[in-house]
Formats: sequence, structure tokens, C-alpha cells
Amino acid sequence: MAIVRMKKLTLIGLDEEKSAVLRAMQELGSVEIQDISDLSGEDIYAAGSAHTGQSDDIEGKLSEVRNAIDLLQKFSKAKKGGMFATRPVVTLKELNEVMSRQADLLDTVAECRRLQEKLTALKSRRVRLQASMDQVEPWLDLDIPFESIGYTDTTNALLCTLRKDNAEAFTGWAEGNELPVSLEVVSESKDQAYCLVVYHTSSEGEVLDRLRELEYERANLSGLKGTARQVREAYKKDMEAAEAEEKLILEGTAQLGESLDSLKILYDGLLVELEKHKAAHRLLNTGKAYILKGWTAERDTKALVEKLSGVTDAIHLTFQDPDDDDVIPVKLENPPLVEPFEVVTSLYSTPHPKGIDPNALMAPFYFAIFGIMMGDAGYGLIMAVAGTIFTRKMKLKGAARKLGLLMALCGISTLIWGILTGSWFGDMGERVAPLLGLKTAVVWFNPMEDPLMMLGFCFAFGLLHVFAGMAAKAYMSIRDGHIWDAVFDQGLWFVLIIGLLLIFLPATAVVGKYVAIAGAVGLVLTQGRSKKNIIAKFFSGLLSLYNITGIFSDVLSYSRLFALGLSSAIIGMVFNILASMLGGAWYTFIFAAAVFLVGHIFNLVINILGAFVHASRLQYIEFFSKFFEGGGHAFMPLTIKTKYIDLTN
Amino acid sequence: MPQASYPYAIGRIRVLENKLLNNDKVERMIEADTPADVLKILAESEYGTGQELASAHDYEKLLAAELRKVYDFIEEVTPDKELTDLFWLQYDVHNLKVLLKARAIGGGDEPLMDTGSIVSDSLKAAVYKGDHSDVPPFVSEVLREIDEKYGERFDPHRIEVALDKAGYKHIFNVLRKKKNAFLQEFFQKRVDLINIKMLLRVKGLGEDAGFLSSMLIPGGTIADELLIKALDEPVDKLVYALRDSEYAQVVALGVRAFERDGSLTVYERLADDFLLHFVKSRSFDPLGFEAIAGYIMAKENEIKLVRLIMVGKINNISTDKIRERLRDVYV
Amino acid sequence: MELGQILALIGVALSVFVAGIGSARGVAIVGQAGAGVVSEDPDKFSQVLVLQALPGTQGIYGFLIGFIILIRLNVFGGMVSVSPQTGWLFLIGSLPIAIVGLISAILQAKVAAAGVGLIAKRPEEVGKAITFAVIVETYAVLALLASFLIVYFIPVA
Repeated sequence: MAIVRMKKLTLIGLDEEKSAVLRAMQELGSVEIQDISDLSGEDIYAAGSAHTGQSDDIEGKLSEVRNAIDLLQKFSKAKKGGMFATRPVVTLKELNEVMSRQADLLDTVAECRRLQEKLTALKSRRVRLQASMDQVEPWLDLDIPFESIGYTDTTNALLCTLRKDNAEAFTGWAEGNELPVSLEVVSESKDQAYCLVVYHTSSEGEVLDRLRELEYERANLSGLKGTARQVREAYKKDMEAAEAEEKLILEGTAQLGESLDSLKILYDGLLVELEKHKAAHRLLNTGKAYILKGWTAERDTKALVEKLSGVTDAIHLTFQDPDDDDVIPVKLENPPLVEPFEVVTSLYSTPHPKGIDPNALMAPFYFAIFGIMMGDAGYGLIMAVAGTIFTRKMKLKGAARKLGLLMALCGISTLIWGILTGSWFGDMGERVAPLLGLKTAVVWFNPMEDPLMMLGFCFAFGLLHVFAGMAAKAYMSIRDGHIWDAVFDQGLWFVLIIGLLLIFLPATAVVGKYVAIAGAVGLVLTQGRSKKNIIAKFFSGLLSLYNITGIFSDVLSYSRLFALGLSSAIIGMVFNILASMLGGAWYTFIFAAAVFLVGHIFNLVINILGAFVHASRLQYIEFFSKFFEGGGHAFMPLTIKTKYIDLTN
Repeated sequence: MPQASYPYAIGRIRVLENKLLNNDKVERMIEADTPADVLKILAESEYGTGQELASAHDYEKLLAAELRKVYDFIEEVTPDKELTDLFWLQYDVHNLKVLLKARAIGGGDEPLMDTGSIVSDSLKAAVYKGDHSDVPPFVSEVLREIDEKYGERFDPHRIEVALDKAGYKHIFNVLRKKKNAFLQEFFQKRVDLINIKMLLRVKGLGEDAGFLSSMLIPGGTIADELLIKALDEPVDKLVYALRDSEYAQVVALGVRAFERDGSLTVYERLADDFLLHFVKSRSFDPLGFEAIAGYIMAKENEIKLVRLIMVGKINNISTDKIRERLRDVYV
Repeated sequence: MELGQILALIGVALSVFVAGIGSARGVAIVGQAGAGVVSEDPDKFSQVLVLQALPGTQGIYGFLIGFIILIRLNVFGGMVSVSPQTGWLFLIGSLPIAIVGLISAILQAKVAAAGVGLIAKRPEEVGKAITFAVIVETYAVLALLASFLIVYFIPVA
């Protein structure tokens, strides 16, 4: 359990050396800079805010470079990395070299933007043309130029769509009423008829009313000149021209592809600059000098002093212990085996600086819970191997690395539980065991054959986990000097629950009864101690016994250990049965192998996800709720962060 | 393309909500030196459709393009076009007002909004040629009514009222059919706030109760009698009468500002904010219409805000003044 | 075929398809929300995928119970004879996971879809979004256990 001791740091230096000092800190990556820029008065602030423009500038460049990279990655022929592609390693020197060519590279970026804009314009032109062509399509058989459809002195013609049956209904209606109107169907789709309607203007009102009743839709072709075929030809020509132009531009883009690697380095170089400038905004600036306040781990102070003294002598650097009202950033330090589990806690909350780091306590429980939920030796083996290889090969860092190692560790746990319960790829172990001359693959017991034993085990495990959480709370109380709180709030509960459990064992039933009663009486007497009034004390003490339901439901929640284990075992078994049903001939064997492989991969993935979220949930809701204080803010030192490359010295 | 559905639409909206102008950006816009600088900041937020503006004075084009972008987006994702159309109806009403005015007094250069639920050509055909074939029945109905009652004689005030009433009648008809409780409540509140505004306006004009009662839009929760009675009483009575309603604050502050300088701007902003907050407070449901309404309103509000800043910058109003004006209405 | 066997097989069908419907609907709801977010912000794909998978488990639980009933009936090796009363018991045993699976999958999907919205705004809160959704699943887990214990301990000749 380790929350690293932090020191408050104050640094005063000269403005002209600010950049170099910040860069040195950035390379060291051990200082979190506190934002004190708003502590200053108006004048000083004005001096400091001059930098805002600069970082806006970098941000603008970054987004342009990013767009250019996206464009080039999409269209250039540069090789694309596979799944295991690692980021290229770039030295500081190479980075500086690329940064010195910034102006040229930015020209390339601008060129990319121009190409991008042209591409977008061409694309929307093509979409428009396509839409126009679709619109004209149904009218191709119409030989009359569009511009001559409309009013003459005595008649009007219009183009519209009607449902097929409605078009017939209209013709019938016109004939029935002997109206001077004709409807000609130009073309038909599945249920629409595209019609040319010509009528004498004397009957306009009736015709239009009738058409409206039949839900006609006027064709929106206004402004078109020539016949439908001519119009379409014109569109086609435009389309071809647009496509040709687009091809040309894509070729131009492909040529720019060779700058892709440099652009990526430039992007990360700018990113590092930006971090530094942002850090500079957090300082208190006077124009000539600056004050930097921040945090660093106690043990990192020496290295920091050494590094900075290599940069300049003109700084004044002091370290202080934090005051009570300081908001201390939280940096965790755990042994390598516990470290991966920090991911689980960080998804929930960063521990409070005055609280405790729960990871060391949580790790063994998470380890065991995950293993029980997956519960299959075959899957465990795959996870352990895949997790290790993945982390190594991909050179993962930070949270991703922790996640990879977490998977490997949980794989080991899964392997162990799988061996104990004899589960190898579902019931494969049981199937193979006789062939190896073994009676059974099960070492301890098979949950499927003894579900009650398994449930009992889950509840016992759950109780242990919950007790561990309560014990952690007791430890915190004792650490803070509230020994009686620990005795009353946790100790008495231990007494009560253990007493209740003893009642169920015939040998200890009587003892258990008295132990439980002692615990209950103790709780009634002590749980109301914060109340003033004696009656209120008694009643809130009595009411506190109700919390037993909370503990009961917490423990019940651990039944999911069994449920998830069951789900992975049975689904695995289903695929084994399916595969074995395919028979033993060599050609069916291929199918059987495919079913086996695909099925178990599916089961593995689904269950890793399930076990991960449910194992986490048991920590968050059942375990952390007993003692964990979150709400700290994680230590975020000024570091070199990159997106495309890995930077080394 | 995935089928348009509530979760899909709201998923997209949740991401786009990140791109709404935040306080930092607004602050930077207020601090900007020239109108062109404001536009630069807007360009960062992908405002408009990337078209080049001849000058910063053309900002209305940019805002119109941005609104159109919102419109196109909503049209693309809407899981229920009949409901989203209700939000675009105000632009149809606006277009109709413009067209009727142009028909009566000639001209007609004023551009129409392209974010209405009805294609503006159809509206033109209906107003100018009497060709109602491409407009929905309620528009056709109100146009006939206007023609009958007012003929070619142009009475802008009454025509506006008639159009507004017809619009809301349509809205409530649709909602009766759709049974969407949230929108029902939302539009009721909007009608209430409009009716209070009508009352204040009539008060300012010094007209009588008959005039007011012809203007009130039905469908709200505040009884007409209460508003008509308030016409001849001091405004404090109205504030008092509505003290327990949710509009208490809007009315108290808005009415006071109206009394002080006879302008409804503050009231209108307060009313807009009230509705925006109402929608925002409801827009957590991942499967409901609330978030869609919330996004449309947030964008409309944002566009109004940008307009305010641009007008200020173009007229060389000082940064402090602009901020003050925004603070008046936004905080 | 005997009435008892038919009843038991109805139980199999119920637990598989009722819980399956719930999961299918649930996964679809979250999937749509996810597609919305991803179409605007493709980087969120992996986070969204985790949330989408969550309401899928109820269907698996339902299938699981159905499968256990099949094993108890020895369907794969000549079906055993089942009295009508035992058939009813199997049918009843399938109900907890069928009904709770159906409802909890859809409700969990709503929570997960809200979680997708949360991720769209604050990707760092993915842990909380998942936790909210997982809490709903507890009841499907309990129903699974209830169904399992019932169908496991029904005596079959």
C-alpha cells in the first residue's frame, strides 16, 4: 500500500531560461506543475498571457498536420503497419532535425489541405450529379424537352409521380367525367408511375384537386433544358470530368506520401512543444522572472536538482512538506506484481491522498475472482501466453502495459482454478483424461457436479473479501488514532457475523448463539454513540442491526463467481459436443476443428470481458464501499507525450 | 448507413455536443480584436461549411450555413421526422410572413430561410399562385383564411398572429397524435412564455383586452383570463400571480426590465434560457426525444450568441459592453 | 412424445428465446447508440464495444439453462421418460432466467446507451459507465442461479 510521499516545490528563475528549464523537467518527467497564473495581479497576468497566442498557434498547426497525416495515410501507397506494428523509435536528434525543417514541411501540409479541399468539393459535386441523374432517370423515354412542358394558351402539362393504382384510378376518373385531360405513363418503378399529365386549363381546378387526392408528387425538374436523354448525357460528361480530376488529385496525394514519416515526427515534436507552452502558462510570470510551483516525489528531488543544475545556475529551488490544506497529487507505487491491478482502481477513482492505496490488498482478491469466473485451464494458458507476448512485442507503455500484464496474471489465476476443477477447454479435460489413463481431470472438485459446494465456496470467499474490506477500514481508524471506532464499527460486526455462522455448525451452535448475541448487544449499545439523546442512541443502535441485510446482499452477490464460471464451462462444453457430433472421418475432422476453434475463441473473448467487468464490480461495489476513499487527483507530471513515435535519447 | 433510431441519433448528438462553443471559446471571441478574428475562432469550431466569406460583414451567411448544417444533420438522423419538423416550423412561419409581406407591398428581395420543414418554392407557389398542391393542409388552411379575412389588404400584425396560431395548432395536433409528453410540455411552456410576451407587448401599445385576447395562442397552461385581467393592472400583480409558477423568475426579471426600458429583449432572452434549461435538464435519456430537442435548441442559442458578438464587433462596441450584454442575457 | 418431455422442451425454448430476445434488443439499442458516437468519433470504438457486449450476456444465460435442461433430459443420447409433473417443473425452472433475462437485458441496454453518451463526452469515465451497466446485470445473474438450481435438482427417472 503505497501512496508516494510528495514534496512541494518552488522554483524561481529567469525568463530567458524558462524554456530550457521546462524542457529539462519534461525530459525527466517527474514534476507536476501547479497552475498559479491567476494568483498574480492584472499587470503580471498581462505579461504571462502573451504566451497564449503562441500555444494557440501550435494547436492550429497540430490540427493541420494531423489532417495532412490522415489524408496521406488514406491515399498514399506508403506501407501500412499490421496489428503488431510498433511505433518507430526516433532519437531527440532526429526530432530536432525534423523540427528545423518545419517551414518546408508546413508547405507540404498546406498542399495537402488544398488537395483535401478539392477532393471534398469534387465529392460533393459527384453526389449532386448522381442525385440529378437519378432524378432524370425515370423520364428518359420522354421525348419532349423539359422547358416546353408547362402552360400554353389553353393547356398545361405537368410531370408527376403517382402510385400505380392511383394512376389508373386517375385515368378512370378522367374518362368517367369526360374531362379534357390525358395521363401518359412515361415509366414505372416497383410501385410508382412516372406520368405526364396534359389538361385543358378550363378544368385545372378539378384535375389538380383530384391529383392531390391521389397524393401525386410533382417532379422537381424546373430549370432543365432539353430532353431527358440530353440532360443525362450532359450530367454524365460532368461526372466523367469530375472523376478524371479526382484521379489526378489522388495521384498528387500519393506523391506526397513520402513526407508521411517526417510529418509524424513533426506532429509529435509540436506536441512536445505544446505541452511545454501549456506548462509555461501555469507559471507566475513577471516579465523578467517566473515562479514555478509544483509537486514531485520525495525521492525524485535529488535527480531533479542534478538535472536542473546542468541547465543553469540562475535558479532558486526549494522543497517543502505539504501543509494540511494542500491538494496533494496522488502517485502510487506498488510492487511489479500488484502494479497491473492499478488499472482496475484507476477506472474507479484515484485514491484520496490521505487515504490508503487499496491495490496491494485488492490484487490477490481480483486475481482469485477473475480466475474463478473464467475457470478454465486452457483459456488461462492462452491468456497468460498472449498477454505476455502482446505486452512484450508491442512495447506497450503506461495503462496499456498494465492491462496487458493484468491479462497475463489473470490468465495464471484462471489456469490454476481450471486445473483444480478439471476444466480444460470446457469438458475437454474430462474427455481426454481416460485416454491418458487418468480417472478424472478434476483435482479438487467439479462445480458442475457439486453446485451447492461451489455456491458455499463463493459465499465463503465473498465473506472473506468483505471482511478484508472492513479490516482495511479498521486499520485506517487505528492509524488515525480512533481505536474504539475500529472496535465498535468493525470488530463488533466481526463478532456478530462469526457468531451467526457458528450457529449453523452443530458443534458450535450454542457458543455461536452467545457470541452473536454479544455482538448484537454491543452494536446496539455503540452504534448510536454519535447521538446526544439516550433514546436516540438506543434506537439508532437498534436500527444499525438492519445493516446485516447489506452484508448479506454483498455476500450473495458473490454467487456471480459461480454463475460466470458456469457460463464459460457450459458454452465451452456446447462447442465440444457440437464438434464431436461431426464424427471422426478425416474430412469432418476439419469442420470439427473449425467449430472447436471458432467456438472457443468466441467463448474466451466473451468471458474475458464478462470476468473483467464483474471482477471489477465486486471490487467497486462490495469491497471498496467498506473502506476506500476516492476523489484524489492523479499525479500528472510534465512529460514527453507522443502519438506516432517513441522518443529516446 | 445504420437505420435512424433514437439511440443512434443521440449517440451522434452526444459527440457533437462536445463541439458546441464552450465558455473559453466565447470568451476568446469576446476578446477578439476584429470581426475577422471572431470568424477565425468560429472556423476552428468548424462553423459553417467552410465557404470563404468576402468580408466579415457577411457573417449572416455563415450563421445561415451553420443552421442549415444543423438542419441537414437532424434530417439525416431524425428517428421521427414529424416531431423534428415541429422545431423547423418556426422557419416556415417566418417564410410565410416574409412572402405575404412581399406579396402585399411588392419587393420580395428578403431571402427566405432554408431551414423550414416545407420547401420554400412550395410556399412561394402557394402564396403567389394559389397553388396549394405542395403545402401541408394546415398551411393551405391558414392561407385561405388569411385571404378570406384580409383579402389583399395587408395587416401585418393580424397576419402574424394568424400564422403563429396556425403553427401552434398544427404542433399540438401532431403531438396529440404522437402522444409525446415531453414535447407537449415543452411547447406548452413555449406558448405560455409567448403569451406573456404578447401581454407585455399589448400593454406597451396601449391596446385593449379584445385585441389581446385575439392574439393569445391557445394550448398553454396559463389561463387566458389571467393574462387579460393583468392587462389593466400594474405589472406587479402579474408577477405576484405567477410567483409560484415555474416562470416566476423569468417574469419577475423580464417584466422589471420591460418596465424600466420598455424593451422585451431581456424577457425574450430569459424565456429562451428558461426553455433551454428545461430541455437540458431532461436530456439525459438515451432513448428519448429530449436530447435531440436539446441539441437543436443549443445550436440555435449558440448562433444567436455569435450574432450578438459579431454585431458588437462590427459596430466597434467595446469588449466590456459586449460582455455586459452577454452577461445580461446569458448568465 | 410424452407430455412431460414436451413441457420440458418448451422450457428449453422459453429460456433460450425469451432471454435471447432481450439480449438481441439490448445489444441493438447500445449498438445504435454506439454507431452514432463512432460515426462522429471513430476513436471511441473499443470503449463502446465493451458497453455493447454487456446486455448480450442474458441471452447466453438463457441458452445455458436451456442446455442444462437438454442434458438432464439426455436429449443427446436417447431422451429419458419424463412425467408431466417433472415437465412442468422444468418449465417453471426456465422462467426466472427467461423473464428476468428479457427485462434486465433491455433495461441494462438503456443504462449502457446512457453510458455510451457519457463516453462520448468524457472517455476517461468508461469505468463508471461500465459499472452502472453491470449493476443491472446482478439480477440476471441471480435469476440464472435460481433457474440453474431448480433445473439441476429436479429428480428425473
